[in-house]
Formats: sequence, structure tokens, C-alpha cells
Amino acid sequence: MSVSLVNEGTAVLSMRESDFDAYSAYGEVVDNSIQARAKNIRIKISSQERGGRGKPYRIIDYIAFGDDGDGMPPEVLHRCLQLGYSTRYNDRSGIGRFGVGMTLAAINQCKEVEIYSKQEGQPWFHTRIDLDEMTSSPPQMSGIPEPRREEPPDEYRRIIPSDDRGTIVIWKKYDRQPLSAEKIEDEAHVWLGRTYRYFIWEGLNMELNGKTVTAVDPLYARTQRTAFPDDPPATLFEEISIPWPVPQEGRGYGSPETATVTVLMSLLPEEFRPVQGSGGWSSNKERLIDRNQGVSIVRNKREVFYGPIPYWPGPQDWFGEIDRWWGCEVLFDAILDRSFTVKNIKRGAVPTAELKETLYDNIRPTRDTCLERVRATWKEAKRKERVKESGGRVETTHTEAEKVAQKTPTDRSELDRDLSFESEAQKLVDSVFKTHDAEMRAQWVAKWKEQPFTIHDDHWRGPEFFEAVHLGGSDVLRYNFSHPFFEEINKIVTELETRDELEVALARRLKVMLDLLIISYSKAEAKFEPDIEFTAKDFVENFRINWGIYLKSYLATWLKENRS
Amino acid sequence: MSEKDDDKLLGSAGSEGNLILFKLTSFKGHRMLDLRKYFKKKNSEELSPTRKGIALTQPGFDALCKLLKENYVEIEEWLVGDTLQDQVALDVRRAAEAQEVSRCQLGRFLVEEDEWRSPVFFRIEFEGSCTKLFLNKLHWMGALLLSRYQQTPEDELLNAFFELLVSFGKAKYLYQGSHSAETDVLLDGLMLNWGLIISRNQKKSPRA
Repeated sequence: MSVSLVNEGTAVLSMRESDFDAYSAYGEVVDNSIQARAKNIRIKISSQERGGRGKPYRIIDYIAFGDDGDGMPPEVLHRCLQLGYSTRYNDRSGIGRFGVGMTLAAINQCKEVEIYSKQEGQPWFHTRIDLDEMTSSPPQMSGIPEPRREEPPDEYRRIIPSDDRGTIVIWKKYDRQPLSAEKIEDEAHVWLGRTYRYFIWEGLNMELNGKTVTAVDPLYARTQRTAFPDDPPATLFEEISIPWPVPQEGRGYGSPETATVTVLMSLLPEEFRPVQGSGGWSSNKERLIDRNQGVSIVRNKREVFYGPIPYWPGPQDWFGEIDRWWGCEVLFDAILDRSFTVKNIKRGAVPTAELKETLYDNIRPTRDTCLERVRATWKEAKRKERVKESGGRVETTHTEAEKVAQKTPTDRSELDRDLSFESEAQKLVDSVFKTHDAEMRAQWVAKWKEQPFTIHDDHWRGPEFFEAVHLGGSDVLRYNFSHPFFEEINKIVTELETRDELEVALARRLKVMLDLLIISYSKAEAKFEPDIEFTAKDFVENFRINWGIYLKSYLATWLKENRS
Repeated sequence: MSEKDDDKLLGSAGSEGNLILFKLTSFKGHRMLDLRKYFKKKNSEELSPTRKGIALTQPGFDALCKLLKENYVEIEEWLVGDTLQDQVALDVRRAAEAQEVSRCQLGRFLVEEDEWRSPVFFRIEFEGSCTKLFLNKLHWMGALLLSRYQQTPEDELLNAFFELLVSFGKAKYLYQGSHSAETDVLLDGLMLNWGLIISRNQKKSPRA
């Protein structure tokens, strides 16, 4: 005697443990509304405050979803809650595919589901299921009752966008609430806005508890119908098209051999990221930028995944804080479901290993470009801040070492003895301080003239970590903060400066010692007469000796100053 | 067909009960490639030819080679058939091929001017499917290329040279951040990728 493959009672209860979260469960109902050609969808989360010990907590009574879609005839309504039933089974042209989404989603979250549905020109019909009644002993409900003519109560009528047609789905006996209802509502706005952004842009109207659901674009490139329509759009880069083979399984006659995976990437506007740390600004938090770390995967215009992709081939630092400043969207048609391991509940679609590597190869170069530009903006901001902090006066952040060098008696430099200070200084100030006004440039030239060494923090592309320019009596040293050496030094000094007094003092001393090391290098370099020839061996030996002598002199002055 | 001493066996396929031999043979002065099923007679170790086979002269052989070259994938897919494991194997192979093609893909590129102090005269930046080739105007080579480009932006040779630079930049990029290896291994890989990128993007119009 054969035994049924499925024990209905326990199977239904075990299906309550399917892999949904609250939002993806709501999404299954919304998907059906969209597939039914709804133009308006309203969602109501009804909750009550429950007291007890500690802070009051809002508990969900029911969730109702109303739409103005086509509605269902009674025979379809009768079966729509049946697991596996679908008028579009395995149809990959729409959002749904397997016919299990809505019911699995509902019983994952609650124990009672009611549906009212009306087609145009027809009356309202109603059916329901109740898991408690189905699993009681003996069962009070066996199977899904045949739909009866029944008008929705007033309480639910308010949710219906239209009286002519539509569907209302109500989830009751809600027993899987992860958070307080108001937090669920806030998060649901974001989730719905991002998941259905393409439909919202195409005219879908969605409301949650009377408030419009606005589109959330992880690329920040389209601002219409978002919460911030007047924001500057992100820079959207040219789309990357990746032809990908359609898996054999599910390929019908006439199916194409390959389909296209499209990757869109963007760089968020500079206005949002002018300085390092701006990710935590309240204005950026309102725009969800502080959470913008990951990739959005979109299937048939509906998002099926958002966040850092699991087992991403890249190194550990991917999807860190700095990655919030670029956006990425991967779009594919449902014919590639297998390549994205799309499951029957449309949650957590993840590319297969080869596709993941291919996406990584295509995304990485533009990501690197974005990070470079973000860092360049921050460096420029820091440089301007340093100028601002000096009150617009021509002061560097190396005055201590500069003053030491000024006080230390040394012999005259030879390398630049024939150069004209005025013309060399003018050339340098025109090239380095291009964006400064004439008055500021003149001040810098005067500063260079009044002391033997001036040190500027700068950044440029190139292998040198610093540059020494001999102007004919004075030297200008430029530190390249784009070089990894100074990046590390800066990190160490900045870290020490945040600690206690002793460590702040150590940071200062470290900085001065480094400045004096480079000043003495520059002095040793300038010691050579321009026309004298040396063998390499002699040159290096002479240079090292001079360097050591000058360093000792400068250090002696500094130590003497510090003791006094 | 009778076997002759100057027949040359090139290879075989199949198993003992279903053996195909590939031979160079001749008949009445005509040289042929013979593909034929053979069998073992009872109580004998000798292989005897069957009537199931074909002998190709030069024209037939040329036509077969051309056909195989042009239809290799389709023939293989047909022969592989529809078994589940075969399907899976085919999917995996096609995905690996698509991955390789994607690595070598070179979208359109734009030439732009920049300046920086370094011996390097060009750099590449990626913006989605568009690649930007920045030429360093402070370097004599960068300045020369920029000047020529400004005069004759449609110059074919100049654009081919730009494509060479862009493809080198892409090939180099594929190695950035990869695990360490000996220098000659890295350089060999770089040259190989560079060559692959150039050959796969042959005759593509590089700029819009």
C-alpha cells in the first residue's frame, strides 16, 4: 500500500519555516498585484500598543493589501491559495513563476488569510484559510472553502483603491513579528521603494498606512518619484553588457543561446561626500547612503537581492564604508534564473560561481575609479581645510621644523647659486598654486624668501614621495600625500593625536624629526655645485656624509630649543 | 578493400567490438584518407575491414576539414546529446567560456588630456563599459600623441596605437591585486592576456 508523499497537516506547519523575512513576504502579495495589472496598491499595517514591563511595543493585528488589479473569478480565487497553483506556472515573462510565493509568504507570517476579489462588472467573492482550524484535532477546516459572494467590511473597503475591481488580501493571527510595528513600517517603506522602484517610475502608486511609497534608487541616478526629487543625480557610467549562456534546463524550443546581463554603475555626487566622514551626516542617513553598501540584483525589473554578495571573489575590504559612494545594479531576464540561483520565493538570488567572478571582473575596474575619485575629493578638502585653519595666512603645518632650519647656521647652497629666486619662485607658485588668487600667491613667494625651507603638503600622481625645489637661496619641499609612505605616516600621526597628552607630544616629535630628515636631505642635495662631476661612488659617499652632518646640526638646534 | 604494406595507420577510435581505424591508403594510384569500421574474425587476432566506412581523396578531405572547423561546436553539442550530466557539463563549459570572453572584452574608449609628474606617459581609468585613456601632457610622448590627436582625431594608425595602449592597460589591470608569482610567470601571463584582448577586439570601432 503506498503512502502519500506529503503529510498535509505537518507539511503545512513545516512550510511556516520557509526562508522569508517580513518584507520579502509582503513582496509576494505585491508581486501578484502587479501581475494583475494594478496601478494602485495600498497596504495597511494595523497595530495596537501593548504595555507590560518596559517600553510599550506595537503589536500587529493584521496586514491588509488592496489593489485595483484585474481581480479573480471565483474558480481562480478558490485555488489561488493552493500551494503550487498558478495561472502562470513556469512563465518567466513576469515576476512570479512557481505559484507558491504568496501562500508560503502568508503562512510564514500568520495563521489566517482572507481574500476578497472582484472583477469588473462582477460581485465581490471571498475565501479564507485558517491554519489553526486546519490542524486542529479533528480538523475544523479541510481544504480551501469554495468562494462565496461577500462584500468586504468597511474596515477593509477603505484600503481598496477602486470599487470596480481589485483584490484585498488580509493576514490575521500575525504571530511572526520580528520588530515593533512602527519599525517594520519604516523599513517596509524602504524595502518596497527599492524593490519596486522600476514599477514606481513607470507609474505604479503604492501607499503604506496612508503614506506614499517613494522609489529608492541604489544608483542615486534617478531622482523622480523619490523622497528627494531635487537632489543632484549621481554620475551614471556606461552600461556593461555581458552575454551569458542560457542554461540548458528550462531552455525551450526557440530559446536563445545567450542572454544579456547588464551592469549599471554610478558615482554619487560630490555634494554628498565632500569630506571623509560625511557618510554619517543626518542628511545622508535620510537618503540611506549610510546603508548603500552592496549590489542590487534586479530580475524582470523587480529587485531580488540587495547587499554585499556572499562569497564575493574580492578581498575582505569590499563593501566597506567607502563603498557607499558608488552604486551598482545587475539586471537580468528570468531566462537566466538558473545562473542567478533564483529560488521559488524570490529572495536571495545569488549568481553562480563563474558568473560571480565575471561580475567581479567587470565591476572592479569602475569601483577602483570611483574610490580614487572619492579619495581625491577628500584629500583636496583636507588641503583646503589646512589653508582655512591658518586663517588664510601663509602658514604650513611644519612651522616647527622650518623655524629650526632657519635658526641653524649652515653654509651656502651651491646647486642653485646661479638661479634667480624671483623667476624660479614665480614658476613654482604658478604651477603649484594654480587655484589661488594673485595675492595669496604673492604671500607664498614672500614666505619662501624669508626662510630657507618651506614644506607643503600636496598630492600628485607619480612615484616620488616628496620633491625638493631649489629656488636660488631658499628651498621648497612638497610632500606627496598620495604616496603610501605619507598615507601611513599620516594615519599613525592622526591616531596618536587622538590619544593622551604624552602620545600627542610623541606625534609632534615624530613629525618634526621626519621634517628635519627631509630638510637635511634637501640641504645635502643643494650642497653640490652644478658643474662638478663625480663618480657614482664618490657622489653617494659625499652625499651621505653631508646629509648626516646637516641632520646633526638641525637636531642639535631642535633639542636645544626643546630643553629651553 | 585490401590492406597494403604502405598503408599508414594514423589512429583509432572506439572499442574492440566497435573499432574505427583512420588510415592513409591508396588505390589505383589515388591517395586517400580511409575511415572505416574493422572487426576481428573468429579465432583470429587479425582485424578485417568492413564495408562501413569512407575513403576521402584530397577534395573530400578539404571539405571535411572546413566543415569541422566551421561547425565544431554545433556538431559537438549534437553528439553530446541530452543526458542530464551532459547538459550540466555543457552548461559549465559554456559558462567558463563566457567568463573568458568577458575578461577580454574591450568597450569603447575616450582619449583625454591630463598632467602629472612621472615617467609614465599614459594611464587608464574605467567608467562602466567606457575606458578613458589619459595622456600625460608633461611627458614628451603624451604631448606628441595629444597634439596629433587634436589635429587628426580620425587617424586610423593613431587610433590603433591608442587601442594598443588601452588593451595593455586592461591586460595589466587583470593582474592587479592577484596572488604573487614569479616575475616571468606574471609577465608571460600579461603578454598572453594582452594578445588575447587585442585579437578578440579585432576590427572593433573603438570610439563612438
